[in-house]
Amino acid sequence: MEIVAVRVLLVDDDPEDLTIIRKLLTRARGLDIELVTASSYEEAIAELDRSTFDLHLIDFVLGEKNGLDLVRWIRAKDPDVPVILLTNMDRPEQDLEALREGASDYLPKHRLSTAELQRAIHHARERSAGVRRLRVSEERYALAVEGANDGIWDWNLDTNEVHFSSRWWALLGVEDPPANPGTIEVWTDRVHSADQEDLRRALTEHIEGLAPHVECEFRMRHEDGEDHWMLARGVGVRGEGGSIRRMAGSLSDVSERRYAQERLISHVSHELRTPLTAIYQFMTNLVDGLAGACNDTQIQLIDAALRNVGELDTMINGLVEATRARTDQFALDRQRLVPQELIDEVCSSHVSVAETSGLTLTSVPHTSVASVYGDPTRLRQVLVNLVGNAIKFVPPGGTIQLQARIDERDPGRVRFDVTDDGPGIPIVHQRRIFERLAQIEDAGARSRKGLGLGLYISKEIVARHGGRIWVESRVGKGSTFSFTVPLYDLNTLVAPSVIESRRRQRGLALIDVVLSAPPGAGSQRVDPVELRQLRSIAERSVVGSTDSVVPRRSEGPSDGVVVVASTDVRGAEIILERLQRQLADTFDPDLNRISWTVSEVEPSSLAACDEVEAVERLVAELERDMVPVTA
Amino acid sequence: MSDNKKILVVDDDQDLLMGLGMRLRASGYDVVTASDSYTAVATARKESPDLMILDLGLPAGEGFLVMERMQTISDLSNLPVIVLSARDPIGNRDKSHRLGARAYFKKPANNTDLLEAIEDALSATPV
Repeated sequence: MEIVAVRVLLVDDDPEDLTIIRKLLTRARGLDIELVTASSYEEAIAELDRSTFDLHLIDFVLGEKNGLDLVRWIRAKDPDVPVILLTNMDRPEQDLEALREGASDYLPKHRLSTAELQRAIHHARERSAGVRRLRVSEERYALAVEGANDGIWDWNLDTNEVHFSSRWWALLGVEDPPANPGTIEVWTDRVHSADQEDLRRALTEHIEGLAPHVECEFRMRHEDGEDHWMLARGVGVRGEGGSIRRMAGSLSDVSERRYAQERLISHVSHELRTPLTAIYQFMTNLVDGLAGACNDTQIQLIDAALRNVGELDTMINGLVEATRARTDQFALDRQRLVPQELIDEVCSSHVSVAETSGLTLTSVPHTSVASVYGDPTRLRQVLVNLVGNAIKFVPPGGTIQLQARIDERDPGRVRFDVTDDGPGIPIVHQRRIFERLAQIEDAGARSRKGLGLGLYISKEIVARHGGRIWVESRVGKGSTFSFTVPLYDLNTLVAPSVIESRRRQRGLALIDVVLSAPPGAGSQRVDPVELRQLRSIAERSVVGSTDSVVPRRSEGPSDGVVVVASTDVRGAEIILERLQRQLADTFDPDLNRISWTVSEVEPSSLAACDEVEAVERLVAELERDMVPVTA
Repeated sequence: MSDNKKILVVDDDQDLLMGLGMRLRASGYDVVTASDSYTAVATARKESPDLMILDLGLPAGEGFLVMERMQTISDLSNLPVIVLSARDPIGNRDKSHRLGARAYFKKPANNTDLLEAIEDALSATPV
């Protein structure tokens, strides 16, 4: 057995006990003990000042002071060193006190034997070493976390509780964060609507074992009013049965890198256009005979060059669009649209191209599809992208079919389908084709040119409309690309509040509601309870009056502003004018897209309703009184 | 003194001036060129062109500067301008229209479309 040298300080005010214990210690095996004794608190302190000890044996009772005071003194100097308290069997509560004060162990005096002492000493030393290692490790970890400056999140999937570090909140500009634990919704509610799907997918894929860890970039709402790009990384702990019950990771702000990247791409794309234009100019001048007539072969060659110039132009445009798609300059000009007209239009403009590739392109007629609310240029872009892909990948003799009808699973939306009987897409690829720079390495592809951004841009467009885009396909069985767009529905356009919370799931149009009170009205003409009630349910509502500063418009693009006057129509008009002027002064691009209305509502009619009913009644009255105020 | 209409092309890219100049001459126009804002305005005053084709991408934002300066010079305030730009239309298109541009083309501009716009601008009555 290995002999360990140990310097021991024994403190006991009873000289008989001192002698007994000393004798017991000499017989302890495996220990080469150098013993120093003290018979009072003061003597012990004197010895401790003089030198350090590997182990302390302290009697609980030490004259006026007790052993715990000494433990405290020792612990203040060294949190880990072994300290064993010798306690009295008549006072079992001493044992617990000893541990609480930080003793490594306690030993009832009456049971003292060499074996006990030996065991206690070995045990205390092991424990101290372990505790010290743990503390060093924790300090190292804490320092690393602080050095990395990341926020930390810790998610218990069973209870859905999430702990967020204060740094996590600080990254979002929140200085006074809500207490832990929160829920995962506390996090996802702050995530930009177009990115929520990405984050959810990253979390789910790791939980399902499809990805080795979580890694995702997305925008989050910062207290400064801007969206910041954040990177979340994390990993889960698998319990019995292999499923993940707990996940934790970091959050960091990558806005600078992200925006710098987008600015760079944007700048480079612009620069590329200049030489491209020169090439275009020279080639067209040549082929049009401005430098002398060309023979047929020369014309052929130059035409081929010009086709590639066209490809480059498309690519640059695509690159710029894809960059913009993520930075909200990607504005939508939404209107009431008839889906059938849209697909017929895309069909007829592509029929001849399809024919050239030996394909049949048709649209399925539906007579009674309701209108949708969308940007015609952008939705056409999505359809053209899907049809264009089909034309590229379906071999001659195939068919492509367009269709639009109400989505059976979600009657609030219209579903557009582009179906082909081409080679189909392997499931392995299906996951990735909507991502940037995804390209299918398929030997059958007629032309692999292009940057592969079309589907990515289409996904952004559809997400901005509040819809979904997906593909159903099997190898050898063809493919159907589908996307959904919300129906055009006046009710949902106009009712802001309850719809606001549903909007996050259904992606409906967004409205600002300005409740206006007559000047100096206060409690007189409009019941503040009613105003508060409405305000609490209309998250995006602000209250203004003619004699107060016009409130700042809430952030983010909106599709319309509805001004609701409680009793004072003229006051509402004044506020409306102010808002318009405010927007005009800041060259707000929304100015031309917003429809303005003023409406009069009897507040008493809202009293004694529950929230949902109140809003519905508001909506009904607004529909009845919509009076467009033209600028 | 020719009967042809005269077009002043302003662009800091010499290749572009050569290529577009060739195309315009072949379409029956006389062409004079400039590659910076100062020369552009000076040449416009001296040569009295019937139309200006202006590259917005002149260095240091000089593209818009040319249009702004022209508006303050009575001889030039009615000179029709067609704008070419390698940058995205967002913002630029509106600003150009506000400064009086007749048309806005993203580079590379299709020859047929550009020539059509030139004809329209030349035959339109002054604003």
